[in-house]
Amino acid sequence: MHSNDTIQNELKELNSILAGISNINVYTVPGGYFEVLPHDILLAIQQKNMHIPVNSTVPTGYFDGLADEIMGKIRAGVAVYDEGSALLAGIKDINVYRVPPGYFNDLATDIVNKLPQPAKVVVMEKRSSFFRYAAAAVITGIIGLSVISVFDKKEKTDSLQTNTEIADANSIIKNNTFDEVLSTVSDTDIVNYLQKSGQDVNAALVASVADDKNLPDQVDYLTDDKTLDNLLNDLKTAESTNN
Amino acid sequence: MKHILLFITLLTGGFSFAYAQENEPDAAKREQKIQALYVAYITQQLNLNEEEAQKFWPLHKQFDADLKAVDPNLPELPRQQTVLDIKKRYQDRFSKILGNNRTDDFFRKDTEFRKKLVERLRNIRQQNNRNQRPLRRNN
Repeated sequence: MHSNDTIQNELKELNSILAGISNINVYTVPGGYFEVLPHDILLAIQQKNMHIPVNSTVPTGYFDGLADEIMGKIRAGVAVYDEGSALLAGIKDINVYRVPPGYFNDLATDIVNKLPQPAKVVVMEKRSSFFRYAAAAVITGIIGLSVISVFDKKEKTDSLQTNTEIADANSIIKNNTFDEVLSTVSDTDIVNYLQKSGQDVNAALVASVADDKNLPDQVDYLTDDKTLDNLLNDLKTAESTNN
Repeated sequence: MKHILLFITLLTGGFSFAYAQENEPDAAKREQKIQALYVAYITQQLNLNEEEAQKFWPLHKQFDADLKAVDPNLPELPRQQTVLDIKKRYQDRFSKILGNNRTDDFFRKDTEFRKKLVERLRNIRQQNNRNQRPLRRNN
């Protein structure tokens, strides 16, 4: 009882209409309602001119002649159709799907002729892979030769050149041609050689001129009054050519 | 046709390049001539026998390469010091082949050879100078 009061209070808070409905079953029908309901429905349908017999009964032997009756009505309908369509009746035994004789013999040619002419096909010249491979081989060869020559040069220089120099040196010693070979060495070659070995060529030249061995003999000054001038000129020349 | 021309060009270029690589430049040959003179001079002055020469010259090649690697743009005294350090470093190695006395001789003869070259250079320039003097007088 207490719970019912609580529910009523909650309903009042939520919706006053629900709370106003008393504790009565609203889903009630009059007594014997469902006993007369089918009859009442059929009656209502009949009243609306729906020709549904209230009692679903057929005459006796109705289905025995039903098939013949239907077929008879169909045949009668076809006869009426035949009479109404003389044209269709006239072609009923004729095969309308006919083509002239030899139609399919020329069909393919006719279709091809009617197609738009395709553009002229130019055959691409087949590129010979020989030249590509040959060019690649030549380039590879050049690169290979360069690499080999660069890396091999050091070893060649160290071994073959040393051997060649020793052989040339032996020839010079054997034939006693040191001065002769030295006299064929040019100015530029000497300068390059000395500079490569880190020697100051200019300083060496001046020192060479001033060397005691190269100074004129005392007698030279007596016999030639230009000896001192020549020496000074040589010194000057050495300095000027160096510069 | 283009391919053929390209192929021929590349082939010719390749052969030319290879030929150029195979032939040493004249400058290198001329340098080799002076180096042969050097080898002859040192061999003769130190009286190197064949066995000594076979050991000495490969070592000298390294010595020469180290000297040539010295930066020529260094100030004079540091450059000379570097050269001296290299000579000292090789002194012991040369001594094992030549002995101490002949190693000293080697450094002395090495300097003498360069003096000979400088003398030759001075003679060439003096000769050239004398040849030019009459022309100056005519002018």
